[in-house]
Amino acid sequence: MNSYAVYAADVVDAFRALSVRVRRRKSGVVWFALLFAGSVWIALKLVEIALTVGLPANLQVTTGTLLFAAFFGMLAKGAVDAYHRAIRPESLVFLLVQPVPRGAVALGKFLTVLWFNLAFVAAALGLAVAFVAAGLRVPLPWEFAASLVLAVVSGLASGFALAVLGSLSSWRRKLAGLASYAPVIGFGYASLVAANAGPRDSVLVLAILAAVSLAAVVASARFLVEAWNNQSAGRRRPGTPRPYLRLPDAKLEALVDLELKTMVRKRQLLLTFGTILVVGIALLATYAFVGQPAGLPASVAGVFYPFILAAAVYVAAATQLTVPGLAALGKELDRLWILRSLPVPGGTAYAAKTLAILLLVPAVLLGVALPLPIFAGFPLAVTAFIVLVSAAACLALVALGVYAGARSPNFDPNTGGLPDSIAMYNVFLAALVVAFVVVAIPAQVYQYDFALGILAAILSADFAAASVVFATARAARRYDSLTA
Amino acid sequence: MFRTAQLTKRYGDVTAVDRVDLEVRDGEIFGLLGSNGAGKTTIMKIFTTLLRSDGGKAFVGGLDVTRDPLKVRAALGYVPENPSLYEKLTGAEFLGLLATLRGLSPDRRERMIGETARRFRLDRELELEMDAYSRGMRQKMALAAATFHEPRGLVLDEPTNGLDPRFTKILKEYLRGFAAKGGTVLLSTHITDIAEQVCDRVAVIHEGRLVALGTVPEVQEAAHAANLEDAFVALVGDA
Repeated sequence: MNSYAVYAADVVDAFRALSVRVRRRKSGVVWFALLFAGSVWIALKLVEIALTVGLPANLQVTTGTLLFAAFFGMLAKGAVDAYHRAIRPESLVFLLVQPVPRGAVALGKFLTVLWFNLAFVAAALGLAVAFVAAGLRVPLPWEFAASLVLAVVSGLASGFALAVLGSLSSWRRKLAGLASYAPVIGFGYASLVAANAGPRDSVLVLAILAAVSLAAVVASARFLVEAWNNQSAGRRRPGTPRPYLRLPDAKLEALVDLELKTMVRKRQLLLTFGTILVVGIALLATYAFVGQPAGLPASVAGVFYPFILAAAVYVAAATQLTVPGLAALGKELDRLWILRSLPVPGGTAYAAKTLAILLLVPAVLLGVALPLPIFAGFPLAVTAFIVLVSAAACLALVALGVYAGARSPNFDPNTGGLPDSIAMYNVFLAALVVAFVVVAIPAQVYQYDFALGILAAILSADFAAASVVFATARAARRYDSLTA
Repeated sequence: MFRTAQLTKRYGDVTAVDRVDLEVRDGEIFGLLGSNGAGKTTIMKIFTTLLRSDGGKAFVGGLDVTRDPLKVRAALGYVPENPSLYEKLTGAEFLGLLATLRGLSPDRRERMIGETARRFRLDRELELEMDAYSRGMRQKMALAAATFHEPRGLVLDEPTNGLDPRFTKILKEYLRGFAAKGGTVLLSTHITDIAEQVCDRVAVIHEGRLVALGTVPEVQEAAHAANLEDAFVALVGDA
């Protein structure tokens, strides 16, 4: 009952905040509905094509692999949501001091996280059923749907527990906490992927995983207070403060330094580099396992690695370059008074935010775009082309994040400044379209003539850089017009 | 230093500030008194360019706040009612950031940060990330941030929030010294004792309108009350 009270209050609060934003941008909801339905259709269509054409003989994707991927993806989402909803908020104090078990508080917070994410999955499954009924030839057995729901519940619960354990007060305790949970994830991998679980076995495995993960949520409540307190523990930093980066403009340097120090000390940079590393390793692992794709038609085999590489760059750029831009203004929350009461033009303030994000672009290029071409021994011209179009895509996605983040900032402290799910989804799909345009045009030219293709890629990167300047200027105007 | 002419601000159907005319002279400590939601913070935010008015004008040092926002900000120091800070910066880094953004030379910056830290008893906390600051320390840091650059005017929204009596006394002495040197202070407070002790003049705001203006004895006399607290209750009602 106490959990339900916590959950109900959270949901009412979040629902009202969402309603206000939806009322402000009704067209965003229509776009969201169209894009959401479209993306479910595209996903099913890709499955249909894969089932018709087939996958490389040495790349077998099983039901278990798909479910484990869903579990792992939701684990990451659950960790982020739990951090913002249950660990970071100062308002948690009002719940922690009530005469109720802390497990009930943790469970209530988890139910909120679960509710929002499960709503998306339910909508996606409903649409999938409708599309299959309308004629898409994709088998959708009930066991898979049930397993998917269980994978989502397990993933979110595991993410919640890991967020708490990963926020403990010392590195030793963090590592011990995370390591203690490793067997649960190991069990999921061993049962679903390594043992190649079929649809029916998956239901059983994931039911066990869900039960263990939910128990972990309640158990993690024991450490919730420590994790919550640790978020407000400041370190002593003796000595004269020095900027991380020297720039000719002192004001810009100071503001970029503010962004960078916050990113480093909140360990966002660690998360960024970690994600880039994981994506880069996944790419190389795919190449190491699959090698030359066998058993595919020549036309498909030729674009196999470019497609995977483009997808990896998109994932890394959208999550690590677009998302910080989306949160750039919203994360200021009630600190907006500081910069707004100083004699600093909005242009300088926003240029610093954009510059701090742009500093991450080389990391995406070096960590994701370059390793595969080098490892696979792509010709120099191809490698140069890949780096150029990747740079163009990265810059375009930075511009999109900066623009969208300033256009509809979210000052809700429960989200860390990120826009609501609807806006986020719209931006991610817009990012997909933008990245496609930025890459596809030079790629077409490259197929015709490689030298012209390189020039087209340079032009594309130029346009993308110009879009960053444009987006920053527009965002600065929006920033200046905001009232605190 | 601070002047409004028919200043008006609406939030939807609610008129937060209703045609207020106000003038705060140079070297004066001026108190804005009012119940919660009376419109004090709104007026202060308009002066600090954090909010735009819907009607009328506001001036700081003769500058129109909507036309010269950067010059207005350069002339002022501001403490909001609930100051949130950059929690992952140390106090020294925070003041250093503000000094750079205010264009202070490195030498002047070091000297002024040092003096301010000593004045507000923050020396030992300067190297600590502000995440670890208590409510009172955050308030002191916000006061330090508003004053270290020697502004011409101070806009202080409930400046004694979270401060212990010892530091409240230090603050009152600082404000008197600041005004004696020609600085102007516009402060809002719920505590009538503080207004009585430090303010040269006060204005009582009720439901966005100015209901009384003058020195503390003048306001008491107008309300036929023995002290400022009774005068305040008489002017705004006790509901």
